[in-house]
Amino acid sequence: MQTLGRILPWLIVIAAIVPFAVNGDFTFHVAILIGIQALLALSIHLTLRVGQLSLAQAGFMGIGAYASALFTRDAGIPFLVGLACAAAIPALLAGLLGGIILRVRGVQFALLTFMLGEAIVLLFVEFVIPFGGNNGVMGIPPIALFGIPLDSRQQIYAFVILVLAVVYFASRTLLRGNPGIALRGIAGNEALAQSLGTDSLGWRRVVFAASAGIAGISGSLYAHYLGYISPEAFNITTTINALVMNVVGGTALLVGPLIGAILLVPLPELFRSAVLYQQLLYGLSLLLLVLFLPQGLGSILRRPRT
Amino acid sequence: MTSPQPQLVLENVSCHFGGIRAVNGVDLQLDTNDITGLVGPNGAGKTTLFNLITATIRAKSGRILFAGRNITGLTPDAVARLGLVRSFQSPMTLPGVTVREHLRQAALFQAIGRPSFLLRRRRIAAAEAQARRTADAVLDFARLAHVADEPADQLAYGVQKILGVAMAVAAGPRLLLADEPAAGLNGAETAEMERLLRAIHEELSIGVLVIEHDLPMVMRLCSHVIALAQGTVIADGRPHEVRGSRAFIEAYLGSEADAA
Repeated sequence: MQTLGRILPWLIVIAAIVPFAVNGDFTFHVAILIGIQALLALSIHLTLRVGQLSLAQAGFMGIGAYASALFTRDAGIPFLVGLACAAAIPALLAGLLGGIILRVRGVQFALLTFMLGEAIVLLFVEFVIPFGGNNGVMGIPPIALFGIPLDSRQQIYAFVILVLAVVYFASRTLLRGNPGIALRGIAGNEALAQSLGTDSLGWRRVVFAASAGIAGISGSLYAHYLGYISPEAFNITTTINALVMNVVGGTALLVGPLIGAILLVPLPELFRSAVLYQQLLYGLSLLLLVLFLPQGLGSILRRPRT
Repeated sequence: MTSPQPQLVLENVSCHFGGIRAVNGVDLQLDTNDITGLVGPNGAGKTTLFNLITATIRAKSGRILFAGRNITGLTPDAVARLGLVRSFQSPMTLPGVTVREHLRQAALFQAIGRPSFLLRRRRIAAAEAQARRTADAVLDFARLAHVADEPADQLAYGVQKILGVAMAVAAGPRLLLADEPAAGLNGAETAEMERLLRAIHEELSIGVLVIEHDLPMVMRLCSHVIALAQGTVIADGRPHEVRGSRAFIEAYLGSEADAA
């Protein structure tokens, strides 16, 4: 826990300074994408904390993206309200479905959520009205606060970082305080925690709903930043990438998904010239990482306990 | 003794695993003023009965009532919050957590067990202070103060089992269900466990239902004994009555009793 406190200020400083120091529109573009992907990775991280890997997170991200995009574009709802809907709708859906599907454990749960995610994407493809089918949704209004659109990437970046910080600290509060005791009890010894009065299913539902809400927020930011969304952006590949960020950064630390996003999101952009070898290098480095640093890069930062 | 007692009542409770009738039409009543012993040969259905009472498994038929309330079909945590708390046959701990923290958390789960506590945060400060006091009190009560700050999973087997019962006490039960608390313990540890169970009953006025193979200990400790064999109750009454009953002797010694 002390480690988090030690690295976090540095991460914030780096996040605040680097894009401005390099000062190019492209740097801000990548930084915004890092923020959006970090949110999705964080949402997967929460499901891992209760020992249930959800592969539906990109689907929830899609629900957030479509909800926010359609509400603001077609119904003229302000962006911030759209963002709130983008969080609330997937959270509600996950909370309701969670009562049933969270009873399934292990690989079966991962497969079930994989199918859920794919089913959500299929809805976007098949229902041309209102989702636009394979063409997706275009002309999504930009991020605007109280009617004032954020027209530069610097401003959007600042907003994305703010949202990420709020979500991060909310997650940290959830994992640290009294809820954290219940969640660690469930993850550490579920039968014992239950025998002492912990509502295991209830807590896992709350975490699943929160994770879906965070994924929805990520989707909303994505939609309003790019101005265009299509179904394939929310398929299983997106979820797997976010999962890889967790593995690379470390699944035991809340900063793990952030570290993973910072490292992995820029990679395709940096290796554009070596596109032929990109996947190969990516796979090799992942293999080496899992072999030599199975706890993720975050584990380097964690000092051994005395 | 005539005041309304929270009583545990099982009415015709059955549970089958495939074709095996693990628990078959069990009727029983017990008073939370007693230490009740649940005895019987291996495979008699004792632990299954515990699992049914604490809702870890569902009964195929029958009703379970606690303090007049039907608790059939509740979840294990809901049953625990009503005051039916169990300890486990093999020690259960949370990895890397100290003994004191185990007891504090056990005392806290009553308040924070359900996510809805997030909506009633004002009461939490009081519950936290209470949990700390409970943890300290139970540390002394169960004589665990000397290992209070050690990680529980590093402790000796016997101490972990004492901790298991102590956690159940910290959770504030009305009836504590102890599943073979003395199994695997040496003489001194068994004596300490016996002292603890007696103290839970006499000093804290908590009812105890104990599964135990150590018959002499059951005879010393319990005022009420229920004997199970092949999933049915074969004897139910005062300890000496049960030990003397023909069905009980046959269940333990088989046909040799007839030959004798």
